[in-house]
Amino acid sequence: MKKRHRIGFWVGLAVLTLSIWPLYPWIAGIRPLVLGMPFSMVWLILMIAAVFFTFLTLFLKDREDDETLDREYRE
Amino acid sequence: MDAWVIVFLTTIAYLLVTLAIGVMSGRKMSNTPEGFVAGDRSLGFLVLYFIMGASIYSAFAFLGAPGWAYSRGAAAFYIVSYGTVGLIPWYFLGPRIAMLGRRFGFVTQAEFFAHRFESSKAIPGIMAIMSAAALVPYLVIQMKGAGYVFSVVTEGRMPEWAGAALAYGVVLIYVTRSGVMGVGWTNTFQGILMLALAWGLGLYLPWKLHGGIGPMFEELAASAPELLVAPGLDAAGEPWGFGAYSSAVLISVLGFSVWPHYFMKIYAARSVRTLKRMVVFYPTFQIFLIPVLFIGFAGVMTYPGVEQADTILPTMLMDLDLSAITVGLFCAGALAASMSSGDAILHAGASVLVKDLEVPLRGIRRTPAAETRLIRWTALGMGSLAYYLAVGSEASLVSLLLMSYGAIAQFFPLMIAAMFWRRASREGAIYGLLAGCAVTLALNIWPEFALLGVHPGIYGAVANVLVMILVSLCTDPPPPERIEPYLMRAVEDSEGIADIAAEQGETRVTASR
Repeated sequence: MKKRHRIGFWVGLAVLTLSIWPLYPWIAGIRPLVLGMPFSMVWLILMIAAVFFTFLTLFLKDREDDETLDREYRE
Repeated sequence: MDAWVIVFLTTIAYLLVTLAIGVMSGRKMSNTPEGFVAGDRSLGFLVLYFIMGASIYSAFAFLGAPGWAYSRGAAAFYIVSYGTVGLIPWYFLGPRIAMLGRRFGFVTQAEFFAHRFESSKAIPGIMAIMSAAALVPYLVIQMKGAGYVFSVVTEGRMPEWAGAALAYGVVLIYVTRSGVMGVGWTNTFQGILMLALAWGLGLYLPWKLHGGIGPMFEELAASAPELLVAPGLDAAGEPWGFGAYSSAVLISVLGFSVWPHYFMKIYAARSVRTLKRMVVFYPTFQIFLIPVLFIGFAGVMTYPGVEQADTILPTMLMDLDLSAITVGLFCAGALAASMSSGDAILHAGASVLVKDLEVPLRGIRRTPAAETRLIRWTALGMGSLAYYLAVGSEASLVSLLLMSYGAIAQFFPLMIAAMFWRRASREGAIYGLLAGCAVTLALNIWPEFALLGVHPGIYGAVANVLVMILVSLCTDPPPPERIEPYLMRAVEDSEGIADIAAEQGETRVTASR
């Protein structure tokens, strides 16, 4: 696993941990309402955003490596 | 013209479009298992994204998920949570699996493990039986959902058995004709339809019934706050435990990346880059569940006391005096949700039964065209069996399906061991899998022993890992030259893959077991 990929691994693990017991009960209150939604629900969207942007960054940085691989993958 | 006729015709129009897309998409596919099952390894980003997204949103998305939000509140949040992280393992492991798939000609999940663990029959056999045991009830539930939609559409004029037969007749035609290409392109159409519908209804219903999302949740916070705080309520309406909620998330995350009908799509990717792009964008599909949950919450105050929570959305739609076209589009969307999962399950189930059970057990050598023909016939057989169970039996499928989640999750430790632990041996893998299944099954039968309400599959996974480690350490290690291509190195993985890629020029063999 590449060194920068470890960041993706740890973000994934952190998001998972923040979505279950014992941390999520501390976060999953109703207020503040954001865009009309209870905070417990907004949290889910924040977690989706965290995963998406972390992996998008990794993906952009992986471009050269992946292209090298793909030239060989297609042969 | 009666309203129900317009609704029915809209639904039929959807079926015709789906059929046309499904039949046409397989024109360029080669008549080999590689073409039929893995789409000649040529799927691009859009199709791969929708195939994964739409396969995951089953009949549950428009019937079950609003029902959960309606009756169990925040308990439904777990569905969003597991999908957010569930596919992450693919970002790291997917490229290697795709590379090995191309090198050895794998098209099913079990072929990967069979080759890694030098097991010609036991591992693919066990995995095929577990997969079929999980996929058939899943398919049956999709068929029941489709039949139910038609029954609602025609106000009871069309019985559920006829509706299920019509929808799945279409599915069988395009799956048997076009294989994964049919599944992929129809799922793209169905996925777009579902997304539009989820957002349309998810924003419209709260606005119509409560004046907006904000006022809806303000009302709920004042009158039923227990619905908005995780872990919500259980099926009986009592507060749900966080042990059960958390383990439901965990077991689903474990199982997510190893469901056979998803895993096989790794081989179908056109390139490593395409596969990774799909994984990166996959969580955006999860946002689709948020409006679906709004729908369920919208019904809580306005439609109290709906006994069957799964019917909350149809109940609201029928009551609101919407135009027939809108109701027709909902029905098409709900059918799309059922069919987009059902087709992938049928296609994968038939492929697995032939490639992992029939071929290894009987050992008959066939031409690729003959093998593909057998997969097509098996799809027909599996579809017929599921249809019989859907209309002709009262078996409790939901409990079977819940159990199957635990069983499928047992493949996850196997995947990690195969790719990270040099010492993991064939015997360790076999006995680990069997132990995991046995514990999951036992705790499903005697749930009182599953402490803290934790999902039986979690206990199964613990047993699986322990047995795998113990047995592996007591048996001979696998030969290094066999396992080397599978092992992920701790750092600088791309070099490892490059080694494999460099050997791509070698003669391709179908996994020499």
